[in-house]
Parts: sequence; structure tokens; C-alpha cells
Amino acid sequence: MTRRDRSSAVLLCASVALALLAAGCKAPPRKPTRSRPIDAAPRKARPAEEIRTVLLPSPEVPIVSVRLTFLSGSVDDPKGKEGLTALTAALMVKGGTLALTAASLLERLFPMAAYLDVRVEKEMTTFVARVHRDHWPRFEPILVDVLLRPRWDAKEFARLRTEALNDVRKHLRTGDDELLGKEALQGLLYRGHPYGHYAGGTVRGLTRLTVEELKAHAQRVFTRARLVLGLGGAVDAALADRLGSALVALPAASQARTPLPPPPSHPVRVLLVEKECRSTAISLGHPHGLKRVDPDFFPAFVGNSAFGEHRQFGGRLFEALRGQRGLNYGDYSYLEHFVQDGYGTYPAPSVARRQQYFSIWLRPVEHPHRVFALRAALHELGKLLATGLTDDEVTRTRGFLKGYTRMWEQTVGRRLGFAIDDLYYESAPTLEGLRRSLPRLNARQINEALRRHLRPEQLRIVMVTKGAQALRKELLSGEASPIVYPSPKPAAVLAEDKEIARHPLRLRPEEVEVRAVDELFEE
Amino acid sequence: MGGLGLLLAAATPSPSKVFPYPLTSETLENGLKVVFVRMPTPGLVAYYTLVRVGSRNEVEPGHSGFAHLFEHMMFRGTKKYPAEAWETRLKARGVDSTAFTWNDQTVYTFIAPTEALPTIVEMEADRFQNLTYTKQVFQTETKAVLGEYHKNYANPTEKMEEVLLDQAFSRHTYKHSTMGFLADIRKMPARFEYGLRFFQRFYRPDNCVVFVVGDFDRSRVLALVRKHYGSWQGKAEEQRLPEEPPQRKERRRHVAWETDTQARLMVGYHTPSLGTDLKAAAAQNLLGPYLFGENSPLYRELVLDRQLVESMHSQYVDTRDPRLFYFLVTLSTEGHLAAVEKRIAKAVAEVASGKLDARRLADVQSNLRYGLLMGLEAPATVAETLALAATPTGDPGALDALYDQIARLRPEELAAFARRYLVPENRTVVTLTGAARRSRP
Repeated sequence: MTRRDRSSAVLLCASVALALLAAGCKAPPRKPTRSRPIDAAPRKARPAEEIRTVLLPSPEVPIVSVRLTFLSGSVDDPKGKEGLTALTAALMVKGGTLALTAASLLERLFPMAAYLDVRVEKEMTTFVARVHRDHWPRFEPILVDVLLRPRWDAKEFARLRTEALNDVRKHLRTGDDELLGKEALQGLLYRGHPYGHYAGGTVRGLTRLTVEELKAHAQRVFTRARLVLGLGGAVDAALADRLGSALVALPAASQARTPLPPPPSHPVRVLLVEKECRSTAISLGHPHGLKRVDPDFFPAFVGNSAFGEHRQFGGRLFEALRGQRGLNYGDYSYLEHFVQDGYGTYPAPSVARRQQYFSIWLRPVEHPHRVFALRAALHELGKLLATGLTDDEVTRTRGFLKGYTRMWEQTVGRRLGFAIDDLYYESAPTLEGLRRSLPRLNARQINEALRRHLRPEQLRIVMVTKGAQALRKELLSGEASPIVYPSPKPAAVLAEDKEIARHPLRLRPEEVEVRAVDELFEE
Repeated sequence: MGGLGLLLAAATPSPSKVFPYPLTSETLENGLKVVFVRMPTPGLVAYYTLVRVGSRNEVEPGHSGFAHLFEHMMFRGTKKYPAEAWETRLKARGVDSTAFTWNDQTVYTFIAPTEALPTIVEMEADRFQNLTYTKQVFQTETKAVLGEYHKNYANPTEKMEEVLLDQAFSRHTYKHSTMGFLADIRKMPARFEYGLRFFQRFYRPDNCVVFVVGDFDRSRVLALVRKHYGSWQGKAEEQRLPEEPPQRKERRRHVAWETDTQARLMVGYHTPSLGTDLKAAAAQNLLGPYLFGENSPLYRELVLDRQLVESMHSQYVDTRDPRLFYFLVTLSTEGHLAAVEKRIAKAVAEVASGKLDARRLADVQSNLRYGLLMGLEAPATVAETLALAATPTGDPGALDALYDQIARLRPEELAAFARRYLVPENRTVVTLTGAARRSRP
């Protein structure tokens, strides 16, 4: 029990230290303040104080974790230059510094096993670094140089652009049907909108870029005004002070943030992507206006978890499609844009954005079952909204989220990421707030929140498949899509199958589009 | 406590040369090993069970992929906790539960609030002793496995590995991947009885190691383990695995991928493994990054300078039986497969001839050590690292032994390893190229 008491003290210490520090501040960490939104202009103060800093010291962790999050992303790509932000960030991180060629940079980092990479999303670019504290003194100047003195090497530019083009042409289009479906859905939901292109770029956009454009773009979007410096683990205020002072040399002012129009309205409800594939990947979704600070957010979050928590058994969707019917490997739903962190199942931080969407992800189903699977998902969503979650489901989901969301905060890097996201959303710490709200949430609140924000009639659908024209015909025919199983099924499942097979799709010809995979992400 | 739960071994501190946390272990009378690692993760714990059964054990023809299918079945409940109740009870306590299967192991994982540990220990012990499911449930689950196969094999690299293993091995079960052959997966629905026998043969206490990592009270957990696992009986089947005859001649296969993708090269050499030869395992752990790491001359030349290659990785894994030292190279542009293969063969020959850079070798040793330490921040990664290292020999202290050997390996020992094993007649080469055709709707 002594050990547990000591551990609690450690936890308390860490949560108190989660503070917004002015970089020059030597005083004990202050409580986070919500008074200054994350994208506000920097205060008029001595330069070091302009870097907004989240400091999360954890003395028991021997690793220094750094997250440099810029409120910049693919929304900052000019039209026709899609991929500019991503390639700029990649060249900074991988292309060497004025002091070190790309090869020398790798040689320096290698013995440290230091991690240095960048994630570019629609509205956030995060330079992520992790290094053992033994190596920090050697790593720190390299990190500063990557941000302040990139080499902008033409040869590295050529290499990384080829890599980015291969990522679109030969990985996204042909190497990962599930990712393809998800990215194609975002393209469909936000066609003509600043969110409408793949953050990694389009083929035409990437082809047009020059090193000079990258260099100029960095000056516009990787600026002090857009930066939040996150530091955690084996760190202290002196380290934060030093790094913050160095980064003051970043350009001060940014270009104005890209205004976001509302999500577009266009007639296409279903996009069928034709490609060679063994099975059909399905993603569907619709934008919504629900914000983290809205009273409905936590109820809807709990409701979505019960319906389709990512990579978990037991959600309604999973049970209906995989558990009872064995249609595929898994079926999940999301209240916000979701990116899985690495090979784990937890959500990646640093993917925050101003506009959000609800989505459903059906992992690949055999082609003959594709229409049935789509209808089964729509049928389950319809049931969820019509009859709602039961008290038992809500009790179980509350208990689950109370523990499960703590798993999301297991590493310092993840805690830093979520803390920065909270600043972005101007919300109180979301995960802590969610856990506190759980005991008060009941089935009625949750079901009402789901009904207010989920709109089956607004869902747009992407299916990555072989034989898309035949599928189009089948979808438009409105005919039933019965299923035959190789093994016996309970009578209740078979009875429900009859309803699913006839679930109305109500599609008009102009609403169902067929595209070859090579046409996607082209421009 | 009943007699069955008597402890055979007192807690013994690990040599702990690299591993940064105190590690102790106990072995119950029935052979079940329990490993305890305390680390400062307030209120969180990882509870992992390593079963030393994987696709390696699938010796019967036509039954590849069964260890993995069985992993799915383990989530189908017991008489006391039928599938839904099993999920519901754990979920209500915020437990994150999953599993994975590989060559030599199936690992069942829980990451949970510490207060859920009594529930986890009870339910996991129940599942390992009293699993039950119907034929119908079994057949439904085989379809989910087929879905998983389709998901994986949209990826060209997965396909290459399948072909490499199939070509490199003629008798040993490493011939098939963990997913199994597609033809066998399609036959799974008819193999209900075999599934039941599989459980009896391999899910036995002497074939399992439990890892408890994080924030917990050791004596309380140990008491729970004794209580719930103490009566578990039986011995795992001793299998005679077919021995792989030496390879005498280079083997080659080409895969024509049906869509546009980057050309790739995968080359594998038959080698000893951690389960049979610690020094050879250390040599391979070092050789991968020494040859293909981001500080290697090959990387500098092929990736950075000539830009023929996008990425190169050693794919070697520590296994129980001799398997492969192999690597994967993904090309940036078409048309250079032969040149790249030739250049890599030259680098391999240089190692064999004794031309090794001692400073770079020291950098690789440092990279491996710090890479390991950086991966040990959370209870889950600690438990997984220990479980994987313990698989080949069943020894929970295997991680330290391996890293100790890695730190001590000398350049001439690496050269000797390369001379003996990385020779052309011992290798299998798989190449893959894509089809640059459009998919017409």
C-alpha cells in the first residue's frame, strides 16, 4: 500500500505540472489558463514569453518527449499546390540542417535511437521528438536547427517528393484499401473545401512544387504565432526556458488562418472506387457541428462508444456484423476525425480540427456481401436512433470509458498531445472532463444527443470495390440483397437479415458516382 | 491455499543488465510461470499471458492458420462467463483486452486500471481452463479470419513474405505465415473438432507465462493467481517438428502484383535462432541495422545519394527454431531491381570478408540499447517486450541475456556469422513488381 500511496503522489504532481508556462518563467508552473485561445495573436511581451508552452515533467520517466505543434496543415496549401505543407515539414525533418547533411543528421541521431518525425494533418502539424535523457544535450541543438535552419537541399527535396508521390500513387491508391476508403470519404464529404484534399498532397500539386516555394511556405506557416511547445518526461522549467528562447528565432507573424466555409453540399451521396481487390472496403459519414465544449459532446461520445468503439469487441456494430454474422474483421464508428496511433488501438492526438464529422468504418467484406454489409450498418444506425441505448448498455459503457480513456494517457508524449488538443479546442481537459461527467450521464441524455447530431439521411458512402458499375446498378435497383451463410444461424439473426436485405437505400442515378482509383488524389 | 498452488521457486532477482525495472518470477507447481515487474504507472497495470503456441505448431497438413483462429475462439466465453458476459464484465471495468498470434506464440493482453486485476485474474484463469463454444460460433468466427486475411493481403509486402517462407522452407512449419494458406483458411469451418483438440494440446500451464507489469500489490496478485490457476492441470503436448534440411542452392520467385505498386526485393537466409543459439541471435539483431540502418553506407548510397531505394529494413525475428535472416527493400523507381540486389550482395560479402567498421558497430549497439529503453515507457510495451523475448526459450530473463550478448559481440564474430550463413546457396530471393495499368470502372 505504501507503493500505491507514493504513486498517487506522482500522479498528482504530474497533473499539477500540466501548465501553460511562459517560456521564460522560472516560477512553479501555473494552472492552465483558458483566457487566451490557442490561435490568438501573441502577447506583446519579451520575445521568450511568446512561445506558448505545455510542460509535463515526469521525473520517473527517463525520456524527453517533445511535441512542437503548429496550427498549420493541409488547409494552408494553396490551390494547385496540394501537399505543400506536408512536403515542407518532411524536408525540414529529413532533409538535413545547415550544419548537417541529411546523411550526417541520420548518423548523429542513430546511436541515440532518437525519434524525430512530423505529422501533418488538416489543421495541425506536429514535430514529434523522443530521446533518452542521456542524449538530450546532443539532441537539443539538432532539434533547434531542424526548426530554424533547415538545409532546403534540392536533392533531398527530389527524394522526398518522389516518396510523397509514391505514397499517393502506389500506397494510398493500391496498397491499403482501408485507408483508401477513409481518405476517399474525406474527399467526398469536403469536395471543393479546404479539407477536400489528402494532406500528403495530390499528384499534380506535388509535381508543381519547388524548393523555393517550400522555403517561403515555412516562413508563413511554421511561425511563433502558430506554435505550441510541448515538453514532458525528463524535463524541467530550465530546459523549457532554453528551448523556448531558442525558438523565438522562428518567424513571428503568420499568414492569416485559412477561413473554412461550411461543408459543401453536392449531389453525390455514394462514391464507388473501382480497383483490383479481393474484398470491398466501406466508409460512410457526414459532417456535424458538434463541438467539444457543447453540452451534447460527452453524451454523444459515450453513445458512439457503445455503438462502435474503435477496435473493440462488444460495440453494437461490431457485434451485429462481425460477432453474429462474420461479415468481416471489424466494424467501428467515430464521433470525430480519428487516426489510430501506430499499431495500437488508441486515438492519435494532434489531429484536431475546426470542423468535424461522424463516420462508420466497415473493414473489408467479401464482394458478394458488400450491399448486405452496407445495409446492415445503416440498419444498426437506424436501430440505435429509433430505440436508443438501454440503461445497461450505458452503465457498461460508462465503466468502460472510465478506465479505457486512462489507457490513452499512458505515455508522456500522448498526455502532451491531448493537453495541446485541449488548448486548441479551448476545452477543459477533455478526458478528465469526460470521466468526471460519466456518473451523471443517463440513457435519455445520450439517446437525445445522438438523435440531435447523427443524421443517417445525410450519410455519404464510399465503397472501394471491383465491379463498381455492377454495384452501382445493384444499389440503384433498390432490390433486396439477401445473404446466405455457410453455417447455421439463430432464427433471430435470420429474421433480422430479411429486414436488413430490404433496408431502403433510396438512391437516384446522379447520386451514385463511379471513379477509377487512378483518378483519385490526382488534383 | 491448496497443495496444488505450492510455489516451487522463490523470487529471484533478474540479472537486469539492460532492463531498467525490478523483475521477479514465480513458478507454480503446475508449471505456470508468473513474472512481476513493478514500474511507476499509477493505477495502471498490464496483464499478459504468453502461450508458447503459434503457427510453428501447425504440423498437420491442411491446418495452417489454426493457432491464430484459436486466438479468436478464446474470446468466445466459458460456461461461467459466456462470450457476451465475458466482454460485458471486463468492459464495465474499463479493461482493454486483445490478443495476437505469431510464429511461436499467442499472447493475450489486458491493460487495465489496477482495481480490475482481481476480475482479470479470475476471468483469465477461467477462460484458460474452461473455454467453451458451439460449432455455430466457431464457424462464424472462421469467416472473420477470412476477412482478416483479405485485409492483410491487399498489402504487397505481406504477399512477398508468404511467398518467401513458402519457398525457403520445404518441411518445417515456418513454411506458412501466421495467417496460414488461403486454401486452409477456407477449410476452417469444417474443422470444429480439431479446434477443441488444439485447446487440450497446447493451452496448458507449463506452456504459459503470465506477465504482470505496472502498479500492483505483488503478494495480493500472487495469492489471486494461486487461487484461480492452482487447480489447472495437464502438460502441453511435446511435438516433434519436421527438421528443415540444409538449403543447397539459391531459390528465386517473382511476384507480379496485379496493381500499380513499387518494386520490392526480399532476401532471406536460413539461420539459427534465439531458441537454439544466443550468439547467432545477437549477431542477427546487430547485422540488420548494421547493413540496412539509416547510418549505413548502403542507406547513404541507395536511398540518399542514388535515390534508387525508398526504404530498407531487416525483417529478422527471434524464434524458437532456426528460421531466416531476411530483409525487405522497397524501390523508389522502376527498373533497378537487379542493380540494387547486386549492391546489397556486395555489402553482405564485405561483412563476411571481415571489413567491419568498429565505430559503426558500436553505434548500432548503442541504437539497440537505447531503442529498447525508449520502448519501455508504458506497462503494455514492457509486457509485450518481455513476452516476445521469453518466447523462444520460456525464460523471462531472456531479454537481458540477449542484450548482454549484443553488447559483447565483436566484429570478427559478426564476420564469422556472415561467412557461415549469408552465402548465395543458402538464400531465397523474392522480387515483386506492380502492373501500371488503370482500373477501368
